[in-house]
Amino acid sequence: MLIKLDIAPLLLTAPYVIGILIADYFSVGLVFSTLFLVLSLIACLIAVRWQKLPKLISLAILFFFLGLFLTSLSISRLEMSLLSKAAQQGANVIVEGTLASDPIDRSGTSFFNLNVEKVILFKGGSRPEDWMVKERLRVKNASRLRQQLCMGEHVRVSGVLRLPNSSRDFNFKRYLYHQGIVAILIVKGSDIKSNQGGFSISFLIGQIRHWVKQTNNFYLPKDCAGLINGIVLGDPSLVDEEVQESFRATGLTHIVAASGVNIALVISALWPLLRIFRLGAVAQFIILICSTGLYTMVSGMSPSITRAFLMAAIGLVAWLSGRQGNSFSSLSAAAMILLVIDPFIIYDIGFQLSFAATASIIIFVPSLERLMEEIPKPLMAGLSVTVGAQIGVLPIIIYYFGQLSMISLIANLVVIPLASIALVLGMAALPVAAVSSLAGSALYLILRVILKAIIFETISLSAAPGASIFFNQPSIAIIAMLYAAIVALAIYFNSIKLKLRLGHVVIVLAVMLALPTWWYIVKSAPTGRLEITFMDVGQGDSAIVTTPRGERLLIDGGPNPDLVKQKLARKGVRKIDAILISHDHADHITGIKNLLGLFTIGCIIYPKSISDSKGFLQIYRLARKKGINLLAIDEGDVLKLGEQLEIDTLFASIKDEEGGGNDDSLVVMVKYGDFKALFTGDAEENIEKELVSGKKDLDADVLKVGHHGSAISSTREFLHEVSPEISVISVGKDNKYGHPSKLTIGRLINAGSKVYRTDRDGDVTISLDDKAYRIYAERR
Amino acid sequence: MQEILKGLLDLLFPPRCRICNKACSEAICPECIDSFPRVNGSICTKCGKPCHREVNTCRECAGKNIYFLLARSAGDYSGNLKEAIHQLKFRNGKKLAPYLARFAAPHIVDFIDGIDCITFVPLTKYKEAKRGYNQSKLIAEEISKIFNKPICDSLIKIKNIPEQNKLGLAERPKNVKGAFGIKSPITGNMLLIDDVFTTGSTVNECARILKKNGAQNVFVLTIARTVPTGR
Repeated sequence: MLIKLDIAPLLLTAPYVIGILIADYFSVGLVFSTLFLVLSLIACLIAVRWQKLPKLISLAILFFFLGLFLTSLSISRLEMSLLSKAAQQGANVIVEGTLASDPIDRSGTSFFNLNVEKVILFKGGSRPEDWMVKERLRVKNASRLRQQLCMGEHVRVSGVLRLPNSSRDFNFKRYLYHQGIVAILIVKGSDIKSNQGGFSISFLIGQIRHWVKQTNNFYLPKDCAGLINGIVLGDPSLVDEEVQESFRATGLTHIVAASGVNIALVISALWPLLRIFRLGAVAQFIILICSTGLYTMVSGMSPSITRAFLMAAIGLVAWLSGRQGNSFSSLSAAAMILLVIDPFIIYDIGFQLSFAATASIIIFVPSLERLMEEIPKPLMAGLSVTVGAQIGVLPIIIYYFGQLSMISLIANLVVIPLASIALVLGMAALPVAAVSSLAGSALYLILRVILKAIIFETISLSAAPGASIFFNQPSIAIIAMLYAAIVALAIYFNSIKLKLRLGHVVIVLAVMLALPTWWYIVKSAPTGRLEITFMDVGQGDSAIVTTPRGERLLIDGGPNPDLVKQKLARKGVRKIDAILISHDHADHITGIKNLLGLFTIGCIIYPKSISDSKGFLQIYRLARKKGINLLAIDEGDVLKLGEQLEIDTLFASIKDEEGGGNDDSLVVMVKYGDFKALFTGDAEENIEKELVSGKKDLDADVLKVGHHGSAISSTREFLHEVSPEISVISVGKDNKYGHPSKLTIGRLINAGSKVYRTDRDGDVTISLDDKAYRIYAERR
Repeated sequence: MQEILKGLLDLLFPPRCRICNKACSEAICPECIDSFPRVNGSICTKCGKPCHREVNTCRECAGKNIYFLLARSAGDYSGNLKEAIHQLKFRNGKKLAPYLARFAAPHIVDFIDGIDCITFVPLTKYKEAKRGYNQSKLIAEEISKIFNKPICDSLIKIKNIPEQNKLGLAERPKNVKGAFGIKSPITGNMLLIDDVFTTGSTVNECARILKKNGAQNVFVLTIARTVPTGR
């Protein structure tokens, strides 16, 4: 046995975790779990007393029931909570509390979590009630916050409580639930009042955070400041979105998630200092624990940094008590502590990634180092840790992100040394800048060069062809199998006596780089059929047409910035010959912007009459910057894509009108040989009348039903002209507009058409060759 | 309460023998203590070096000014004892001190009754802060417990010198010269504790300082001694 693992702590943590999962999945309930816990306690005491059971086994059984009990306790506390009940009634409240996180601005709205201390509840008519509580709330503001709020600040907020609602592809309610949040407070920016009442630890920490950000922002340009804030404070949300995206594509996000490296740095900077002051062991211990603890709190107590802090603390206890620490038992103990404080943290991606990476480093690095003994030392050290960590987190990354970075190994080798220097400099520059602004600016100048280099490297690496492979979300069973394979790999690695040379490493890296290219070639090979896929993008439109020769036309991009990108990437798409924008509404164009970075785009086509909305302008500017052709079209224009695909513009806009509404929607007929598909955008009856009276040839095989199946689209006269065989309604489940209308569906069926809808059927693909067509629905 | 704390620590850091790594409630298992190479049989009665027959002055002691009255070592600095002392000094093995003290105690029963006070070789403050403890002090404390003799922290290291074990044998006496000073007044017979006896330069220098400042006689106990390779 080469890996010396002390399994005792694992033997307790594992049953505890299983207890949590079972309690949550089966909703065991508080009564039963308490009963179980008491019974098992008695049973174990008796069994151990009569020496029928080893102590460790009985402890393991106890911990299982403890997990069950603590989880049921948190669940019942959440469900019985005052805010949850108030939110069910949509009550008006005033709450007071401290910010649990810095506010995050995303696409025009901003939100933060609030630790609520006091609730004033307004009930219709009667006097408002005061409650003192200890609960957590998500506060959401429909616009950007005007005031500068930061973590730890005490505020008074008034607004309306709501329950979180989930869309199908994202269970928002569960996501918040696992953060201990059951209600959302909807506020207006002016309803948030900062009321600083005295001094508290959390306020101090918020102030430190604020000072760090201010200092960095003062000395550095915006992108660099964001990056160093992320690296030093370990908060990825502080980093520019473009940089974040490139980190994701290169598997580097962990450098902006504070973890063991940061804690190690604090300790290794402080410890010699304490020795110089000749402090006793206990004093050293206390100072180190306090300073790492403070750092952990300032960086926002993310699971990864808390794990690192706990492990460091355990290591220091071992040092002080003269015992021998064991990294695996420290890790299990750290997991245990976090899970006792909050059982739901088990669902946190950061928690899972951090523990998987650390466990995998502990298990794999010794055997990897043995394997790579003959490789130059610095390369070996970098490779073994990177590979060791990657093995463990691979299944988690595939599961959550459906994206696997193939250049992450190289990216890590190149960027991590730089990021470590940036971390050291970033942490050193802050106190220096506080003392002397001249010395500070000198340090920041060096830091700036390094940060620029990191940004440049990651962005260029992420733009490399085949930086990542995309997958569909695998099932839990597959993930479990992957982990079984990893365990087998660990055992295998332990037993082989292979010595890798430099040449082997180069070959492996080269294969990894080449793999995505082949993957894409295989996945995106032309099928020899014409395919139209109406993608399920929620409440919005997006469809892609692929010709037998492999040319691609995308019509609209849906309401989600990343969904279409992910869907296309999973299909193996690398190149889109044309993107057609029907009109400038958010549910049609939001997904387009992020395509421009990932894919090769031939041209972007938009109606001449398009209004200068913010969303469209962003796309326009980015396309200009990237040198993508932009093509404004008008009624009557005919475009050809490849040899046979033809796009006829039947309608561009109703003349003499302001523009900006649905009446600006393009209507295009996509023709391929005899086959015709009509895309109507958000056209309503006005446009349909115009089309019918304009005596256009509207006859089509496939109809993309206008305006998500709205009642005022798809009039009987219009459908009579089109007479589609297949109609597809692109619509999101439970949308607030009530799309699609039953009347519309009735009219479509009466017109003799088969009706598909993306909210029920998922992605709908129509695939045809010379003779016949087939329809594939994802969920039918 | 302390029981619970200890139980938790045991769970977190399962107790193992520091030498053979077997699960064991002691810091070193009895087998490993038994395996320590002991100094048995005939020795030089001055410096405690193993000799073919008992002598009053061995070749090593001969041409030197020796300030201590006599020195004794418990074991040979090799094998598991070397590992144990290494752990004690460099691997945070302060738990080992009582075992090593008990291992060494039998070697001073002959003269312990005449001892007035136990002292030890000091570390520099920086070194002690770095290590978190002084291994010689830990052993001295244990010895003081065993024989119920007072301990006095009388020496201080005033000069930061290169490590003795990094120097050649010939340079050691010169290196250590003037490195120690006195911290508290002393009288009577003293027992000086150190971890390893190599050339005896360190303990000899300490003994010199002690005697100069009022000690009647200085006895030396070290846990282990190396047999100088240069013989």
